[in-house]
Amino acid sequence: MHTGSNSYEVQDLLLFDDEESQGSVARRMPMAHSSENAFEEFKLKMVMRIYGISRDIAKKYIARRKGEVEALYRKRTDELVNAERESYMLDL
Amino acid sequence: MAKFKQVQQTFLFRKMVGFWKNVVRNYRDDCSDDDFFDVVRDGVDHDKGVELIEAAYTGSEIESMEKARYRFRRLDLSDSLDDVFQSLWNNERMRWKCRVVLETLGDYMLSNLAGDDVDMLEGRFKELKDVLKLSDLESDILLMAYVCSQTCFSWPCRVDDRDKPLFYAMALDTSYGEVTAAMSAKSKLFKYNLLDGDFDFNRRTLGGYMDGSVGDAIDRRFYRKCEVSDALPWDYYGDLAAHDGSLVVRMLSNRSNRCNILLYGAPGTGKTSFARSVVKKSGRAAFEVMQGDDNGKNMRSEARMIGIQVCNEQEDPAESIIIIDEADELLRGGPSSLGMFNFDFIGGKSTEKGVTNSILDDMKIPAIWISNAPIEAMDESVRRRFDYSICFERLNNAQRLAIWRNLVEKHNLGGLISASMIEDYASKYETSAGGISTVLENVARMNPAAGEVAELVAALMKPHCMLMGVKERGRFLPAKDYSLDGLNIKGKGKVSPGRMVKAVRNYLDADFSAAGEDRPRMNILLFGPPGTGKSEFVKYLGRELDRKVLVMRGSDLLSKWVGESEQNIAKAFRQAEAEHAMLFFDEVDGLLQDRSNAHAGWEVTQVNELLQQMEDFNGVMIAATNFSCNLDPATMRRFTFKLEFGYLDDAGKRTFFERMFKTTLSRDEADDLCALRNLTPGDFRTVRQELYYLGDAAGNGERIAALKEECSLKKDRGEAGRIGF
Repeated sequence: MHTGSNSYEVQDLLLFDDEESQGSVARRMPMAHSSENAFEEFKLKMVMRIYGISRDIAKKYIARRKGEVEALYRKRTDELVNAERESYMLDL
Repeated sequence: MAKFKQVQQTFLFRKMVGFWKNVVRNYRDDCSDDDFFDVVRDGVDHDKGVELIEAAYTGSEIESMEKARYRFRRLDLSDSLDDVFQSLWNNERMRWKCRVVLETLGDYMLSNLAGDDVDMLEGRFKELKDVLKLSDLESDILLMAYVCSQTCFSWPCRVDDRDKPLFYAMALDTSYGEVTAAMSAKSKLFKYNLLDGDFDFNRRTLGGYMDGSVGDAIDRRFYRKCEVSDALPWDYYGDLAAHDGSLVVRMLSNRSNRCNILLYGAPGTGKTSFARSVVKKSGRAAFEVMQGDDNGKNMRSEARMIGIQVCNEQEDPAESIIIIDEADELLRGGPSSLGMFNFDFIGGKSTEKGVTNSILDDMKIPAIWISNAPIEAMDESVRRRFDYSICFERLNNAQRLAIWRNLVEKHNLGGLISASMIEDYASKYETSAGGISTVLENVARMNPAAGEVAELVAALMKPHCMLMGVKERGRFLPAKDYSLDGLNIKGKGKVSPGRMVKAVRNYLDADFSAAGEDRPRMNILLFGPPGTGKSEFVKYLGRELDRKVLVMRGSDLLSKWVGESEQNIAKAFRQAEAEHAMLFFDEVDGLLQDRSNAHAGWEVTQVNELLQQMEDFNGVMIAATNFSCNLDPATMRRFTFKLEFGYLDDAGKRTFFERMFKTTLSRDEADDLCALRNLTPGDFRTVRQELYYLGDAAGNGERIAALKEECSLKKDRGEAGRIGF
């Protein structure tokens, strides 16, 4: 679990000239780095809230939706590869 | 030199994400600025963001958005997250889903920022809230303003300044009315200058404190207890203590509420030192509002204003006094006022003036404000809020004398600097108390022998006077062998010079108030050709009457700034009155020219001022001129005595010749001398000096020849030069 200053890197080294010219001390939001399980839990609760479904149904929904998305990406990748191949053959 | 500083920012980001989530929940319109989603772009991995979107939206919903006609609604999940979420948000039909995804991401980011540690910023906000007694809402508004200035937080659309309270209400998830009230011009946030005129966080006030570049606790940062046990004794201030001082102490004696005292006037006139003595006399504790921070930097007016209010809130009104030294900028109405013209280019002056007035009104603890600024630089509305004010003029001779005496004693130099030397220094060096103190401190440090003290004081005082632009005044005394014998002075009604001296003495000795009469004027005009002894007569008058003569020339009075010459004239009269000195205007024709020949308004006002001052003056005023015909006609009736200094008559020529050259004239030589026209006492002095420096032994013949040569150089040849009838 991220606990503040330990994960801050270059953006936390603040350039001070004087009191007035410092401007922003920390413009960028630090990137969140929690565990995969924690993130999955947030996702699960979000789906339950959006669709008004139980935890079990939500889990199943997420798994099915994941499959759909993967299939879609596979299809799109194939289309892309075919288009590239076609273009390559035409060049020959 | 730049320096790096490690700052823990958990509190700042936690608050930022919280405020951002509230805007996500409350904002109902299209998003025209993708910067609003920078929080997600920076805070969440791109793939995780897309994963949530793909779980929240169905395949067909995503497909339809990918085919949207308008660019800002067309979804492309390979874009950066700020662009992706802008597209999702702007598809109004499915915005509710976007809102849920964003809120989930907000919670996810917050879970990463969780922790019980109180970081520096959190502690500072808590301290600020406690010390300034801010409400929860005021504190949150300030924090929101700080978040806007310090993080990637951005509004979803362009927000005008007048709309900011509405958006603040969204971010704080509270009612618009409450936020508007807390952000009004009379609110603490503005009174303390925490927000600027655009409702933004005012970095000039507390930026360094919030960022941690200044480490003090907030109350100690703005004011401190001031030790007054070593303040000068009350009697030291003489009339000032007896009149103004005792009144001020009386006003402070049983006050535990508002009492603003203003001490103003030229620098180095002892205002701060007097304030400390007043505090000591009143028996209260003194608190001084800081002028600089620990790093030696000057504090801005806004920060000093907070200091006054913090001290006002923290200390006991019945036991304390606040001293606000160098209050010029605070009373002028803020740092945006530029110099003497008091221009304000950023239009914030009325708010700042309002802040000053409101602080003056809200004071619970008596306060002594000290300013070097001319009184005109302060707005009338600010001036009228002072319960009492004391103007500190430049030190007069009597005050300087008291300061010299006191400081000589303080530095244990009494055995080396005699009373007559002190008197001499006080009249010769018209410098401030600070200047006298510095010089004597250095003299004491050098441990001089008795014989070298006078030389050492002069050696140190001269460069100080030059540095400060102070003129050294020589003793205004006549020549040792000066006598009225031989002078050709003609006064109306046979007023001889001897009677003139007696008349002035009568005037000075008379007690008009006891007789219940108005004090008559004693203005004397001396006129006549150059060198006839007018100035010398004034010196003689001063010596005979044992009075200081305050000499004013054009260079002392005339200024390039309109109105300043009139002020200088008024000051000269005030100074002469305070020092009980005779006021002498040499070459007065430059100041009292005939107004009918005036080309500009200021030429007229200058004459008017001088005439008015002559009417009201309670002392002896003497004016000398070579050109009485050029004087304004109105001036003549204001001179009680008018003495004409003419060329020497035959008896006067003989008297001066024999006295100046210490010789006796033969009959022939006397005839030759009397044949010379337009001789003045000044001619005799010039010839005597000329022959002295040539070093030749001169007889009366050479002396008369030299005098003849002097006469031939004059434009006005008198009777000898007349042509015709």
